[in-house]
Amino acid sequence: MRNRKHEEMKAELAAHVAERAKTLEERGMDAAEAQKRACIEFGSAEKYAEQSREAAGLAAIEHAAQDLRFGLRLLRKSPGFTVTAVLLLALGIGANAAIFSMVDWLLLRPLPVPEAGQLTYLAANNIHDGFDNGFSYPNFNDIRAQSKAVFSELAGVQPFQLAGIRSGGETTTFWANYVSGNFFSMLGLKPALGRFFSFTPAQEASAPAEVVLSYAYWQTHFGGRAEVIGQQVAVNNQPTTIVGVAPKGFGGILAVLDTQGYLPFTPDLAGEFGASGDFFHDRKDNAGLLVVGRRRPGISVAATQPALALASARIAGAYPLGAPWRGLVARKLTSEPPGAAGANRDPLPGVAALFLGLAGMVLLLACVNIANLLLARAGLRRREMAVRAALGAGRGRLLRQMLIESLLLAGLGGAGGLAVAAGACHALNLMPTGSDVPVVLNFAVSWHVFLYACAVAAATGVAVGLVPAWQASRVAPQAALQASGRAVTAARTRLRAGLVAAEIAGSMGLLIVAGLFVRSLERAQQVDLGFDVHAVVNLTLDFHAAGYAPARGIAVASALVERARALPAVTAASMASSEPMGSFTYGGRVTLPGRPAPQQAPEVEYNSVSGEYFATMGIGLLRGRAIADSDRAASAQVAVINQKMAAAYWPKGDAVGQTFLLDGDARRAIEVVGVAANSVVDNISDPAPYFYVPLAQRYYSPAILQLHLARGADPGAVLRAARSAVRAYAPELPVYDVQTMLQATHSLNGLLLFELGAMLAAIMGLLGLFMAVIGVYGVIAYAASQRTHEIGVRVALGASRGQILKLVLRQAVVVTAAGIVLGLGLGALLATGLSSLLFGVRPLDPVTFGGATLLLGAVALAASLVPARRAMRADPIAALRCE
Amino acid sequence: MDPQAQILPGTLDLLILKAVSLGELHGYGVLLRIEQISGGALLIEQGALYPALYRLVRRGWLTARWGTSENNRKAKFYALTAKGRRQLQAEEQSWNRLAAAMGAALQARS
Repeated sequence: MRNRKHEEMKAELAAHVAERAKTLEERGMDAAEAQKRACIEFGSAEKYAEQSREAAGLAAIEHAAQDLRFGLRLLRKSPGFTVTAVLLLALGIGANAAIFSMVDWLLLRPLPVPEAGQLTYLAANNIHDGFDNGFSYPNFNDIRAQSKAVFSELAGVQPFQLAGIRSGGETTTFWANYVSGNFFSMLGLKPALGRFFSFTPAQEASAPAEVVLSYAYWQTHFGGRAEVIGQQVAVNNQPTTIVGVAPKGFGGILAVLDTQGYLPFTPDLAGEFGASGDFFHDRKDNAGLLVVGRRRPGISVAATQPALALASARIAGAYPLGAPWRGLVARKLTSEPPGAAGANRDPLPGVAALFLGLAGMVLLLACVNIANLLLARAGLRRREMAVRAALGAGRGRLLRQMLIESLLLAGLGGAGGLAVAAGACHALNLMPTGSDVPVVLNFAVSWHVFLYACAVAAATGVAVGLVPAWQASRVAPQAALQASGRAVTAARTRLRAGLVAAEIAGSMGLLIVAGLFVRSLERAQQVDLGFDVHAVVNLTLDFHAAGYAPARGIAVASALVERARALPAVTAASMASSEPMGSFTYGGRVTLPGRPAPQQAPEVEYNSVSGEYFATMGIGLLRGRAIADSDRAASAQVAVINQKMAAAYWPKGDAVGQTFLLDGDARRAIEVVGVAANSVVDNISDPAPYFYVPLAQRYYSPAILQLHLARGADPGAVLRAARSAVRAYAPELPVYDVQTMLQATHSLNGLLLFELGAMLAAIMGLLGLFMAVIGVYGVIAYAASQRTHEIGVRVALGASRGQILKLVLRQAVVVTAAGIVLGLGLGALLATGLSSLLFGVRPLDPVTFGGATLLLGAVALAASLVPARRAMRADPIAALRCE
Repeated sequence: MDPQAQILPGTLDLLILKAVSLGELHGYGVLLRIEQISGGALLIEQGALYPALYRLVRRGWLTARWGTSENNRKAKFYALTAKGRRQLQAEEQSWNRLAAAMGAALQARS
């Protein structure tokens, strides 16, 4: 079609000339003369045809296609440049896309339910001015009844509890959400198979024993067969009927954790939490029930406030001890697990922003490099630009051509970047989380990420190409065609040198951040944990999932501990309800007898342990005695406290012999019988007050069997022996998280995040270093090549090779020094910004700053040596001859 | 023949619109008509007509159709649209205003 129009136009113009010739002929000229005259009068047919086509708007696409073809040819002709540029861009864009895919998965994914934007969760403003989002069943029920005006449905979820499931054979772990009857209808989901729970809120306390499987669990453990509906299994040793399968892609209310099934609130749910009391009637907010609801259409989060305030006032008024609230608030439910909003804001968005920023900086450095390379090429192409301008290309045309070339480069880099991102995502997905808790990490190059990468690539293409394109289009044809090749202005070299200095500064920034993260990791790894991390192995046993009542559980626990102690290569063994940096913690409000009410007291965490605990873990006992097996359920209530707690509650005098109350229970006052050394419990930071009580007196499930290994023992062999012993004694008991204590510390609560942060930051740092090397090499090589003539003159005049080397290197040194100074400033800025993420390292850590300086300085100078030596060894005659 | 004046930039469009307003024309015909109505006093580079014609078509002031010329040759004919007629009036008025103002300015004494 294009060609037809072109032909038509040419025909039209030719017809004009023919008519004119005819007119002239009629006026008396002879035919040939008339034709010639007509052509001259018409002017350049080519030019006007071209202008006509532009005026008709046909030219644009064809020009673009031409530019594209030319650009491709140009890239093919200089493979070195193309490969370098595409590689740099692929790394930069790939890093960004990979980090974005993590952010997308962890933070931006909506729950796969209809109208996910309407979902909210509730939190109670407590008297300490913090927020709790765990409610008790009676409170939840009342809120549900009293907020119908603003919430179409409010459901309660105990997200992520461990149950045990047995369908003929061994009991295995089963991660379940315990949900209220209206959970699925609130979410608006349809079952993939069978049905959901059918009981009403009024029937919740006597709901039949039914289970809904998750789609993934149904596929992997039941072969995806339709016959599972109606099948009987044993959940927590209770006969339960499988009634349905949840839809594909839905993994529970906490998106990152892979729920395997859904159970109704069961009357023995209290056993889950060990605390005494009846789940359905115990009003104190300790059941950890998450209240999630769907707002009515048109009601915003803020609009729920009045109804919630009313409900809160009513309930708190009626039950001041059971519902000590200052108010209720609603918050949007996102894929972030609902944290205790307020003071302990989830750091995840901040960390995500940090790493996106680092990746962005890597891309920026890549862009600076490529801009530099393009500037150099633009300089070499001045003649070509001049010719084009002389042939009639407007400035816009030249600019467009250069931009198309850089967009082409960016496009190739983007494609490469997606490949890099896909690879990175794959590697990250395989990251071990140090625990059997099924975390769903499915980083992938989704269409979100694809669009993001495209946008980044386009922006990069424009950013990178703009300055060189501008420079190239500013050409004056006359001057460029006449001038010799030595027409590089000082300004242009300064621009490039300036860019490289900026690049070195950016690279310094990245290196400093990487160094700080790596040192944080080092420090975290060297922290004295207060226990013997290298000699302990753990097995987690879930008594509740085997259906044991507390008394049976305690008995089985003692028996297992005895058998464990009898194993070869085991010097001590004990059972505990939590492990350091583990998934389970228990706490209660500690008050001294005769002091104010428990609501005002801070919560202190504790561990329920059997005898030999301190010997097993290697925690020092400073005063008094340890918890012993003889501390049984009927014996006196005792506890061993840690130093921090002793100092906090009994600063003067001996804590041994003192008593305290847990959760205000005056009938079970606890006597302190020993003081233990501080050790790490929750995470690496400073130990808090902590105490230990006998497992027999405060029983929790699951519990962790811990074994202290003899010197030189093989942890794997001991764990296998322990597992067999457990299976032999109690085959229906699920066992999981079988690992060494060292592996356990690399959990999400422990060192894993430090390791991840250090790894990512180190990768960024190395990428930045790589970019800086290429940048320095490029600009020094270019500058040296531009000075070939000058160098030839100097050599001819008697300069020694050493002097030439110094001459070229001097520029490198200046640029590098300037970059490093700027980089130190940038690094200081970044370091103070992320001081909250560091551990055991000062933000302005001299080792990191000094190390980065030395590394970058050395690398930059090495990169400049190559072109410098080449210049040094240049043949002066050839140098003088070349223009 | 009177000395020919080079046309001012931007006035070509006006001339074309005027020429075509008197009747549908092909490219060469427009040239002849302009020569005719200006009494031969305006110098126009012939080829420059065509980019102008295409531009005016693109802006919706002219329409083009293929037809046969007087010599039975296939030719593209250009005609004024309603929009083009309005544009012609507007440009005529502004040209006259300019000419009057210039004339007054140049005739001013002291």
